Amino acid sequence: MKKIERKVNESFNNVTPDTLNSIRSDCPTRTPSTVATRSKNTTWGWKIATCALALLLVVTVVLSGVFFGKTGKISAVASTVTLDVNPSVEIQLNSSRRVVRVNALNADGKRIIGNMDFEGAQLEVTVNALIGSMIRNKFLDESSNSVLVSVSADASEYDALVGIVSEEISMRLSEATVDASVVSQWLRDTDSANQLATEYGISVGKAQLINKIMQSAPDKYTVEQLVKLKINELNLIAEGLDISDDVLTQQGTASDGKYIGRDKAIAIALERVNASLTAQDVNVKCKMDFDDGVMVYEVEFVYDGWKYEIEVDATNEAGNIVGFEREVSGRQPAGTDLTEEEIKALAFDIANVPEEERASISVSIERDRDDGRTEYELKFVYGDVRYKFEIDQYGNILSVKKEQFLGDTPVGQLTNEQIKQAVLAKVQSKFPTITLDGTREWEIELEFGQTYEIEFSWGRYEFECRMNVQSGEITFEYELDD
Amino acid sequence: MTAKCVKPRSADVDSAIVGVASGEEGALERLYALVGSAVYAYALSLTKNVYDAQDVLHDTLIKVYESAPNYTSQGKPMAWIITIAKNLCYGKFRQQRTVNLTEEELDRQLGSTSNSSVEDRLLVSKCLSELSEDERIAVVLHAVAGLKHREIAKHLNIPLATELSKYNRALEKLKLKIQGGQDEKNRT
Repeated sequence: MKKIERKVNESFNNVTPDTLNSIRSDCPTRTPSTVATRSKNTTWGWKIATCALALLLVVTVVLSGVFFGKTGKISAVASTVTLDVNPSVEIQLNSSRRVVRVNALNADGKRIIGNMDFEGAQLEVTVNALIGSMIRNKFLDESSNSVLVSVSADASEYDALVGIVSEEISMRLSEATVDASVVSQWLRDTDSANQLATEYGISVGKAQLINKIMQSAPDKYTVEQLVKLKINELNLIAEGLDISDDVLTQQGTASDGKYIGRDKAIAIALERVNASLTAQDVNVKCKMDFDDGVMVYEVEFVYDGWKYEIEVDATNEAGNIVGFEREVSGRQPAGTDLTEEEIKALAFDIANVPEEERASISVSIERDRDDGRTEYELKFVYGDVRYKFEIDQYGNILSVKKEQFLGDTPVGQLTNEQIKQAVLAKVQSKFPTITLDGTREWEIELEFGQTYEIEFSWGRYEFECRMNVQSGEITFEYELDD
Repeated sequence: MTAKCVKPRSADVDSAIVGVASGEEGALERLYALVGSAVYAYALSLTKNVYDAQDVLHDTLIKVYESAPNYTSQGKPMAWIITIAKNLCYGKFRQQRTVNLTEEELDRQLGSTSNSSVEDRLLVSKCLSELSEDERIAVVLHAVAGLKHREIAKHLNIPLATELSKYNRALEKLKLKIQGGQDEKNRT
């Protein structure tokens, strides 16, 4: 007990008046009938219950012969609690919540357990020791404060175990002046999580969390990217997706102490739009996300009739903007139809292209029908920027996207041919018969110098691929064209 | 009451309630010794009035005595007793909203109802005057009643992390205030 806590305890004890005599005299005398009420319970119901208990005891004794370990202690596993940070450890418990054994699920987990022997220990003591070891080994601190608790137990036991473990983690971390963030989930023994865990050598708990994130945003991430992340990063992503439900809860806030910080990201995003704009001037939403292998702050706000969504690289102190999108805030009223030339002129105006240069710029225009009106998609390159506009038939600007353009070929350090070969090699894992000759309509673009966006067709399939310039990592999606 | 500085253990409280229910001799005394301070501290935190808290302590113990034969242990006897005390405190508020006392008046009342030291009364007064209601409740329920933080979070209907930070902040605040109060006393 802390010194101040002891003082509080002593002082309240000392100021408590002695009212025992008054209580004693006001308590009605306990008549035999009152006591008999309790003994009345020994009816047939109780007799049956007693017999059932006796039978259960016999069964337990018989079964315990099967489960007795060599030490003579009961070693039947009734539930398991897995703790993931980066170290992953699994605590196996018997029905009295005593530890049967603690298993390391990865190399860091082994380091955390060291020579500690937990057999027969209380769950609280075990969690306290393991979290303490993670703090000492610098896996948990104020910049990485997330712990994933995955519990495999009966529904009735689940709440109690999560309560005990979450409290112990929060207490132990608060002693180290760290505000914990605990993600707890009920472990379901699903094939997909088990398969993922085996394939990537991660715990089933982490696999289940990754599956949950993938389900919440199916097109955004790849499994290969997410398995490499630590629980704190996954927790930061999960917070942005708001994935809590009846089997997954998030307590506390995941720390972004390893990154540039929300305030800085907001300032960078606002400055990009207007140098004199501050967070007080607009209503800003900021959350963390993971895009193309990089942790980013996603900053959203409305300013001057435009809705902005700006992604700022969270890992770089200089705060590179890695995504910039804006669209009109709210639908504009319909007006007079514009011609294609007038719409093109509108886009050139916004991109500040001088009149005399407009004729030399090649513009690709596609038409589409949406919400009962015609929408134009215009793409062109001016200077070192690739523009993409969406403008409706009345001249309402629906979206503007600007990307850094580094030339057509070769793009970055790879030629288009090299990119195509790399992409095909990846796609062949799913479609072994695909060859370069059979493909058509290749489009390769470099987005912000970080990612190649690649599109191509093969038979009735249309592929959209992304390739990280730094890591060479490729992801792809496909759909069957009707 | 003399200082024991022990948080009541659930098993002991459970056994005292069972004793009270069966009319066992000395069981009521055991129960009072185990939970009296906790109930009083909790009631004082809510009502901020010494006499009201004394009434709540009295009525809570009578209610526990009456209900003991029907009590089924779920391993959290103190939480059950505190809930009884809470309902009695709210009943008091409904009857007549209690008047908050000045620190001096509180000190005088505490002195007249117990054999406590100036230091004890200073700490209790600071606890009542300097901490918010949630902070006071978190402190007495954990430090005096021995409730777990998650039980307190449930009682206050707030997330566990919030309860923990309220608790730690309250202890820090108290530490500073007591230090400040003693420095002031030393100067005079």
